[in-house]
Amino acid sequence: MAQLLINGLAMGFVYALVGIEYTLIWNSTGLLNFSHDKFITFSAYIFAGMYVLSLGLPPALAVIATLITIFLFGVVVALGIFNPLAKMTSNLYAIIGTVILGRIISEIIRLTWGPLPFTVDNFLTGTFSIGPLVIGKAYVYIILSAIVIVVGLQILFKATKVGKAIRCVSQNKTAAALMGINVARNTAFTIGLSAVICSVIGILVIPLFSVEMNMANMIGLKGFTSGVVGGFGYLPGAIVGGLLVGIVESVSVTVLPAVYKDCVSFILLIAFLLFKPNGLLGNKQN
Amino acid sequence: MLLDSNNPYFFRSASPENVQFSLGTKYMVEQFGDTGRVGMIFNNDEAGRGAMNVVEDYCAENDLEFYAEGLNSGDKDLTGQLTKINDFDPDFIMFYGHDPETAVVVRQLSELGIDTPFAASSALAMAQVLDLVDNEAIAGKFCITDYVPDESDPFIADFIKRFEARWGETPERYAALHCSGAMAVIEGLRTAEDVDDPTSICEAMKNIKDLQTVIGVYNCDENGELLHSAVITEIDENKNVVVKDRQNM
Repeated sequence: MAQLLINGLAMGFVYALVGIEYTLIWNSTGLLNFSHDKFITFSAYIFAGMYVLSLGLPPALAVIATLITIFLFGVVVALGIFNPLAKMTSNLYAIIGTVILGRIISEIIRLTWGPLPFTVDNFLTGTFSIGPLVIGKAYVYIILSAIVIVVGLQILFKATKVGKAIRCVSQNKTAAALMGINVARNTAFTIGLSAVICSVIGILVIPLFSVEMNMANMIGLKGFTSGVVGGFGYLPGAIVGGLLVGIVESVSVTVLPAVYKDCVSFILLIAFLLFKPNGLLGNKQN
Repeated sequence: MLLDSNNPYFFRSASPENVQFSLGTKYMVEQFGDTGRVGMIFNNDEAGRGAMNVVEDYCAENDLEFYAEGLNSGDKDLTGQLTKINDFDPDFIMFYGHDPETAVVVRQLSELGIDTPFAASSALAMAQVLDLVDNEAIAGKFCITDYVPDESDPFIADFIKRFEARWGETPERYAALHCSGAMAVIEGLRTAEDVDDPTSICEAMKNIKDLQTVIGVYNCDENGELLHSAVITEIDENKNVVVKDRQNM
């Protein structure tokens, strides 16, 4: 049971990171980014396929190069796609737009790197043991990264002018614009920031999932579930939701065949949508 | 399912999983079957369930305890399944799955510190899977397959040489398999009484006996199975695929 809890907690932090990324874009644009799993996948390909394996950069340098590249990619996507879509009369245009963006990114990946999976040898592999309990080094890095990102975002939002502007835009775009905040530029920065979080996830899950076209499909959906369970649009909610989803699905294998693990997460999603749509911490957000 | 359709034009160039896994389980029991407990993780698709049924039946016939957990294609977190199988404390773990999940299983076994002997379906010895896992994670794992690029066999050596000259890379199992399937069709066309009559070609293929192909010596049975051999291999610490046993069907 203890090992299952550790496994669940570790996966929970992955879901929490994805949930945070969802929340950032939701708060800044009011859009659900259904292409964010492709952002994660694209980041993994940029890091492993381009910077490490093709250009031969050492991993540390490749991480920095990937974060910068994906930030710029996020800004371009924001200015070219998200900002225009957010102004459309119906959210349906925006939803379809992000889905199509995901398809375009997938095809770019397939045409550039081909369909076969690959990995970066000896990158974040190995385990830490505490008595009989084992945790992969990659999971430890994911947990540490999640903590750093959450603390960093809290400092950004509460202690910096840029962060306060992001919060203003998320609360009321019109009022923010009247107060002199450049909403379009602010949104572009936020989406660039969320793309950076995607790239952190993409890089850190390489030793767990390998680099392949569908590597982030399931964690993308589970990240959405985390957001709903925790309280959509509320950063601490995404973390609590992610951890809860990870632990519940992991512990569920003690009473159910493990093949139904994903079903448990999605039943949780449906249950929250039906009976507690504000999520666990949704009321605190207000 | 394909066999149940009784299609007279059905032929299979790959080894049937039921025979392969029966031979593979027998080998693992002989090598590691101390307490009579067999664990298995399998892809929950038609082929994986078929392989699971074979191992389950083998265990029932030989009075062995059996415990299995499934996985879905594309699953990335198999720690729950592996932890439960490890809690069962099996003598060895059998695995049936496709390339991506094979790499995930091998990696997560290593991450969970599970060093129970492990035998997997043919994907384990594929170059694209070997490239996805570290040496120490895959060393000592067994693979039940029907093709190994064994250059000591002159027929296979010639195939490898010509394939590499043409395509610039070493042929993996799928190349050998489909080349062998094509050789069976050519043999059918060559020996058919009337090449314009499909039933005649089909009949000729059903009569294939001792046909040397890249993947082995084909003998066609009444179901259209081009039976050849099961090869038990072990991956060493440098990811070389070492043949441990070869059994004809």
